[in-house]
Amino acid sequence: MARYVLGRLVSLLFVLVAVSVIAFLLMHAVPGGPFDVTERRLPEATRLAQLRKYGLDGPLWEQYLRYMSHAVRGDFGVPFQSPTETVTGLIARAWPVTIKIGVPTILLAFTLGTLLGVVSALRQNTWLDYAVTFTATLGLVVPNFVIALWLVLLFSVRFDWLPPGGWGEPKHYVLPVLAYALAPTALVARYTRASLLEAMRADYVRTARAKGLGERRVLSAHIVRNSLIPFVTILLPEIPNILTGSIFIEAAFRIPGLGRFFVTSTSSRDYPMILALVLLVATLWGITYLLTDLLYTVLDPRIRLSGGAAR
Amino acid sequence: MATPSTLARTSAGALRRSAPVAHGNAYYATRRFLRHRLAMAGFLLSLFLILAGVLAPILAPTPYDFADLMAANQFPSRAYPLGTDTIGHDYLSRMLYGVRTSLFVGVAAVALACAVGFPLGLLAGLRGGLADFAVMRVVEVMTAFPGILFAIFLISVVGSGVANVILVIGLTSWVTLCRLLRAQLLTLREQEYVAAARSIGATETSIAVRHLLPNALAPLIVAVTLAIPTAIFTEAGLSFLGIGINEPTPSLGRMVGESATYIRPYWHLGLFPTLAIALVMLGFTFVGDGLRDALDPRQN
Repeated sequence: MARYVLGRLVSLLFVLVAVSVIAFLLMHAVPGGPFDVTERRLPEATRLAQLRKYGLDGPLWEQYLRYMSHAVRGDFGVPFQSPTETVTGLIARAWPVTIKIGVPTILLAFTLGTLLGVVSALRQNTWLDYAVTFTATLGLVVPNFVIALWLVLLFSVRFDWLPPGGWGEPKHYVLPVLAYALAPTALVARYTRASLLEAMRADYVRTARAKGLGERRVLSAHIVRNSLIPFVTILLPEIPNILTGSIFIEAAFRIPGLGRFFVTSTSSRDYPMILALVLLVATLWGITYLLTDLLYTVLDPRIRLSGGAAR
Repeated sequence: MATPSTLARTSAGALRRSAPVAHGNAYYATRRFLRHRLAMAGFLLSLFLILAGVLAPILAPTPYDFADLMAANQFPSRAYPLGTDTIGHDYLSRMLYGVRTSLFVGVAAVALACAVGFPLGLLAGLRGGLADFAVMRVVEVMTAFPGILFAIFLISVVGSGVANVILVIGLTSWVTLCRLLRAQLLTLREQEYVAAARSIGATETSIAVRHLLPNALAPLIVAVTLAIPTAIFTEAGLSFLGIGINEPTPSLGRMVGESATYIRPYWHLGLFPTLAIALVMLGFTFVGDGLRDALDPRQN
């Protein structure tokens, strides 16, 4: 087990290094740097001083190593788009906004999704089941910025109940969270329904009933427990996804969160910001997938991780 | 087709008539697809959208770049069935060409993804060893973060426009196809009929061509079909953010993005392109799901 975790961490490290090198090279491969002045030529000395200040002088590998040696100590440099702050500071300012949208979204998606999934599994093939399935399909297939616009059309334009965008007051949360939560809610509902239906038909459930167990106990001890397994693998990866922000939701509702910086940083060639964001997302993803695999073995003892001690 | 046995030829005609007709897998798959209500609905919807896109130059009342400033901001009327936008484009014409752009980008990007993903998947799955290791490390790095972020990052490197959007979507979506083909090959290689073929002296090439690839085909068809709506989604998303397809080429995603500013007075600018995107996504996804059910009867 320890060997397996260690191996996974090493491979995560490899991925992070590779991702950062690729991102670094790609950003520098683009014609045009942040200090290419076209209108007004800077004196050569000033330009060099400028480049030095932002760590853009010297050969590429030197720039990369210098950047990474600072990065591992938590110093990601100064964002070009806002030179009076640090990258860490900018992320620290924008991330809470994204998390404030993300946490209610996750809570809503998991509670409502589970509820709808259970209800439609217990009432299989009724109109309720069909309604849930239909909504779930819509939520999974239709892009969230389309859903966002529909909600705005209905609740802001038609009824004028909620603002079509903006940030700061509680009323600004409602539409983004709804639009954002629909897809994960649909995912949760669909998997809950499928795994409950499968568990309900399983042999051990029939055995449990046959030995005279009460329906309540069958449901809690056998059906629900066993249907948790796909839940973990499908849904855990949703969490970093939601917490790093939907670029589309933030763009649709003009929310000043992390997602917005993905777009502004790439278009303004803000290397330090891009690299920090890319590393942040890659790290979160890597750790989540590792946790998912570990949880999987805890929930289902039949699964053995390859590379671990074979017993 | 089995040749009629001597027994069948000599026995009574009645017996021969009642014998079940042998059909191939394709026949049953087609029949399952035709009976799949959602799949057929998706198929008809996709067909309708494809026709709208292909025939856009004929169907559209005006060319896509024709704007009449005097007729800007019109609501749907007899003269302009879907209204006009803020600079006086006929919105129906923009929508038809927008669907055309979406479909073109979707299909071209998936073609590119196949061109990259399948050779690499074949290499990894058939060769194994170092080639497999190398390909899988690339795949691992590519999946280190969400595809859409990677696409945004790449588009900032190569710039926007139709060709670059296709390039970027192709380069971010080959991974799924490559991994699926490799996984299929690895599973199939362990099957008994492959061992049997090998035991009678079949070469690796003939095993790959006659046994592995035909059996890997069904899931690949499904994956490729489902890759199209995903690619269309990415195009719409990039254009929605304003970094995808540029003026003057119409794009449904950009129409949605631009409508946000005027959504209160001009609801039609937002409603129609969002409906079109939803229909495109639903149509192709239903076809893909239907194909999955039809081609793999073991599921469900």
